[in-house]
Amino acid sequence: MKFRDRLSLRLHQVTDPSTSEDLTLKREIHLARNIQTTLLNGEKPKLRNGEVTGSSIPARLIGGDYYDFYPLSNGKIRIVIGDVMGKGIPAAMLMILTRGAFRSAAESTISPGETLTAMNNALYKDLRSLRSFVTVFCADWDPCTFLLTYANAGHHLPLFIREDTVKPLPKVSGVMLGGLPNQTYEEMTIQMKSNDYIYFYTDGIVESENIEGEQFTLERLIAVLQKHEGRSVHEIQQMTIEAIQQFTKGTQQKDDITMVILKAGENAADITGIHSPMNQE
Amino acid sequence: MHVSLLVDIQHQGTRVILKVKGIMDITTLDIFSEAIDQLPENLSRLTLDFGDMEFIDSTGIGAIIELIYMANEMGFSIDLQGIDEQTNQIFEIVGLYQILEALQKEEGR
Repeated sequence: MKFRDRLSLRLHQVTDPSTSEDLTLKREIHLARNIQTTLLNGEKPKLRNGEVTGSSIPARLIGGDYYDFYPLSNGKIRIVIGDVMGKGIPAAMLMILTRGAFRSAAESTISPGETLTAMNNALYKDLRSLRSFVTVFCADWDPCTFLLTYANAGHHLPLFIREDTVKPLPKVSGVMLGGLPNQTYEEMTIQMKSNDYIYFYTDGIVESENIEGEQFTLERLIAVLQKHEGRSVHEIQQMTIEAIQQFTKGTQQKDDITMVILKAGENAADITGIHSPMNQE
Repeated sequence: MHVSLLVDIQHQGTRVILKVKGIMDITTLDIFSEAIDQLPENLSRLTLDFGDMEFIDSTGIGAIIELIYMANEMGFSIDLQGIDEQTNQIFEIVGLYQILEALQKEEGR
């Protein structure tokens, strides 16, 4: 089989649709966009001792980025952010598949690493046959202890923000979903303190481009986040979006832009800081 | 016309060095695919040289992973060279090296 044919699922496009077909297609894409927007922008969970929010802006009408929250019966909240390979409608279909796998796995697994293993087990064959993959980062946050436990399937490490220091979370490795079968995912736990933030994001943010083709970059994102001044997660979300918009000045973007922001509240239980990511290089 | 990806193919017997120059994303996937389809059937080893690659997105990474799976099925090995620090980090994060190692180990290469 030729390499081009192997990628044909990815490359196939509708060509020369008749006017009526074109209109039908447009209508259906808008309906699909409504479904995706509704699923992504549902009610955000209200946290005891903290705040969380998320936002996703597709580069096209619909996109392949994904984030979700799942309240666990032990009082923790499971947070996930993911990026499906590719763009547009094919990526959006796989994003819905990923959402189903996460919801199902979150219900039946006890930790982020186990959730990723269950998701990979559920999705591997489908993703391989579709020649695709999904990067996913998954974390459990405990509002009583302020402990954040996380695992990673090929996604960018979120940023940890404490006062004016912004740096990636300590590294955990793992193959993206759809990369290899039967994967286990290592976990890491850090101790958060009051007013610490975690900024989860997809690469569409740092790869946003202006008209000259220059990228927004991680350095610019960090510079924006350093000016948080204790703001709410919603204000930080808005601050980031405005900074990207000012940089790109309306340039059509190639990739979806998605972020999830977690802020630890004021009323932490007794915490020690021994696992503080600020003490690690 | 501006071409955002150039692929240079050098044959050395049953070995091939494929040098990519420019951008590997959805807009250049066709160019990369055409180059791969020119590889000889008796290929024993493929070297992918990223020394002049400027940018790669998830679609480009997907194409490389597909190539690794194709190598596993067709019985040739792949090695990667000329990877800069930024690309190395991306490949490491997504687990591309682990996939390459696992599949080539499977084939005993």
